[in-house]
Amino acid sequence: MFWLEHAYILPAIPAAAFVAMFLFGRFLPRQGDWFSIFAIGSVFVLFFFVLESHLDSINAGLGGIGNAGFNWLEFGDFHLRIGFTVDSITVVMLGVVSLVSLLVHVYSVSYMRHHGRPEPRYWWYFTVLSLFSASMLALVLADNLLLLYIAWEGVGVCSFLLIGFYYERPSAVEAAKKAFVTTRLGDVGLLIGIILFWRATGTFQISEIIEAAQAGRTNDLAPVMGDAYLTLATLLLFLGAMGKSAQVPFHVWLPDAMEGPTPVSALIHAATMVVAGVYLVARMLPVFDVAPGALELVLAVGLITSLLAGAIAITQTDIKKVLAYSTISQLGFMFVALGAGAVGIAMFHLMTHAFFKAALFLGSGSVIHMTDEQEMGKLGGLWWRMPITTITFTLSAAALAGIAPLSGFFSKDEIFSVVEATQDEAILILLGISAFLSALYMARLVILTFFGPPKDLAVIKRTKEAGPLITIPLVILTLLTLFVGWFALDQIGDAFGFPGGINNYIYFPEPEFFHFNSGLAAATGLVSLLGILTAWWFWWGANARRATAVREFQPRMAAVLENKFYFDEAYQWAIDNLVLRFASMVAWFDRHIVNDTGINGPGDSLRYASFWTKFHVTGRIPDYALLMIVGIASAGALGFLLR
Amino acid sequence: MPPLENVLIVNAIIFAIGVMGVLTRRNAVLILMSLELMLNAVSLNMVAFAVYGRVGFGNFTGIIFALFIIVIAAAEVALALGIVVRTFRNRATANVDEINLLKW
Repeated sequence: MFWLEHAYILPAIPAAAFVAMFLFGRFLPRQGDWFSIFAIGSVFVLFFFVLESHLDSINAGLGGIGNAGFNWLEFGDFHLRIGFTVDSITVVMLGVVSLVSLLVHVYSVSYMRHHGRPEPRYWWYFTVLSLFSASMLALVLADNLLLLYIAWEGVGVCSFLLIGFYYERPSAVEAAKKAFVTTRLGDVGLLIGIILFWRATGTFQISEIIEAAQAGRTNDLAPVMGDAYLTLATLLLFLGAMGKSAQVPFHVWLPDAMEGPTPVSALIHAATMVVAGVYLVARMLPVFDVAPGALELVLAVGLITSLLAGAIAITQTDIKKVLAYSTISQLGFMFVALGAGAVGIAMFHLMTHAFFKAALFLGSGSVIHMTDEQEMGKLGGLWWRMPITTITFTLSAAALAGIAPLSGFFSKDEIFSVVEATQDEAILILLGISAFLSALYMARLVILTFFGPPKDLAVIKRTKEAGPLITIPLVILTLLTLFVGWFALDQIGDAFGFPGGINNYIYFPEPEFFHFNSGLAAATGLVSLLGILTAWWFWWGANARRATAVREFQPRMAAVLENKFYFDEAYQWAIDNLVLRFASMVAWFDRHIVNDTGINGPGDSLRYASFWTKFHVTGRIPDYALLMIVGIASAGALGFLLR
Repeated sequence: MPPLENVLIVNAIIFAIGVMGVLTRRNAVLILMSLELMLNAVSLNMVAFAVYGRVGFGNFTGIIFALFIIVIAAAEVALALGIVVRTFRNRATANVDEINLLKW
């Protein structure tokens, strides 16, 4: 069980690699890319030791939970503990983060080069990737909200740095700023929420906060927090989750974040960082459970987000933008599962989504790298030029669309079955519409990018399949996408030596049995097929005229979708008319009241009063500093002599 | 633990380095860094006194003071760096010898 208590070694390795890369990376051979890869690779190996310890501990009846930590600050009775814990949710996240991160590191060696030459700041790219891996691993291992918050901001900074990696491009700078500020808005809520919990309970430990929130609601004790207080603190936490996981109305930063290098989009903006919000809510779900109204809000936000983002994705023309909106939509699905109270199912969808979405982004990166194009209007017909990319991309897209027996089918079906069991019919139907939209936009993306006639012959002619460093990660992720969903079936778990189904192990101690509901599965499968057929009807080859016809039939609706429901415009309007107007009022007050009267008034009077004595003042800052220091020192010496 | 006097001597040395930096450097950014050195020496003093339990302070007063100094230093750096950046934009220099309009 060594690794349960010493899991903090996992984030420590890339953290050390970050320091070394930051100081020496650019002087190492190959700018040190092998160093970062070695660090994250050893984390991935160690993950299996953690997993083994975890399973051993469960089989021995010890609960599979390990904890280690130390006191960071001590003021009398006040202790600030930095601790790391391993439980089933953490183990799932550790596996996802270390595997996807390793694959993205390897992929980047090829992607971040042009004609074999490393791009500028190649070493810096790997340095930040190491820092990101360290922060993300610390985030999932944290057993207290304070360390979680620190790591939360750490991944936010890495996201900012990597979105703005090509900072010569003004659009990349803008996107990085937008991402940072938008997520910050949510983070302020998260911080206030953490402080509110601390104020009521005197601790940052997640387990103790959960106990305190439940006290009085699940037993006969007096409640630690009133209902209103608890709900407020919980919703503030959720605000942070919404910002990080790009839920409406904070979703506007994620599509712009596609300005970063594509492997970064795969790692940070699809598989790991953006699911930190889902992870936070999953971790704190017992609190959400007892806070009145919190779960309903989580479900509503997730549902609205998945519908809106799915609708927007249909009209986007940039490969990466479609994938970004699809990520937002799938994150909405995860929040719906959480809102229905199913942690295990949300984590399951998180895991399957991490694999197929990383595969999709890396596949789109392969297309972008080899064609230098990311507008679907210039692609098409790539399938015979890039067979491996086409096959992996299509399979992953089918998984996202929910085609059996790929992983997305199982995880989505679980979400449907839990929603059917606990929520209204209307919610189930809306979720079905959202699933239909997912199938529609994924099929459209695949058709317009890889099939049909090539829209630009010059692009096709210069394109060939990417090298092995790019295709091997694609194949590995696609294989995972093919098989990981089967773990939902109890029999498969039995066959692999996990009696009673693998979910008994992954989601210990409260395994939510995955009721494979064949009626519902057939219905969702039909919905997905319908979505794909619709996409075929509208966009396959010459059918594209039908899409144009619909667009011309309803130009206003098309414009609303193409402009993403005018969220950006609304925010710009609010900034221009509310924030800047208020700021100009403050500026006027500062200039005329504070400056002219408050500062220049006394200054002017001194100036006139000191007309004959002022000329010894030189204006040189060092002279002033010297006078101050000599004055203070002599005052001190005088005090010492006269003591 | 080393005796309190040694800690104080180290702090005094750091402080003196900071003073020398403020007086002799010409680059505004380096002056700010020296200023930070002085502030850090003072906070270290506070912490040292708190840890060694000398002087009539309560046990945590020194540590709390050090925390306050850190916060104020952060605010001060944000402000001062802003001023330096604006000055650099206006005058294309961060040399304090050339920034000499702060007089009559």
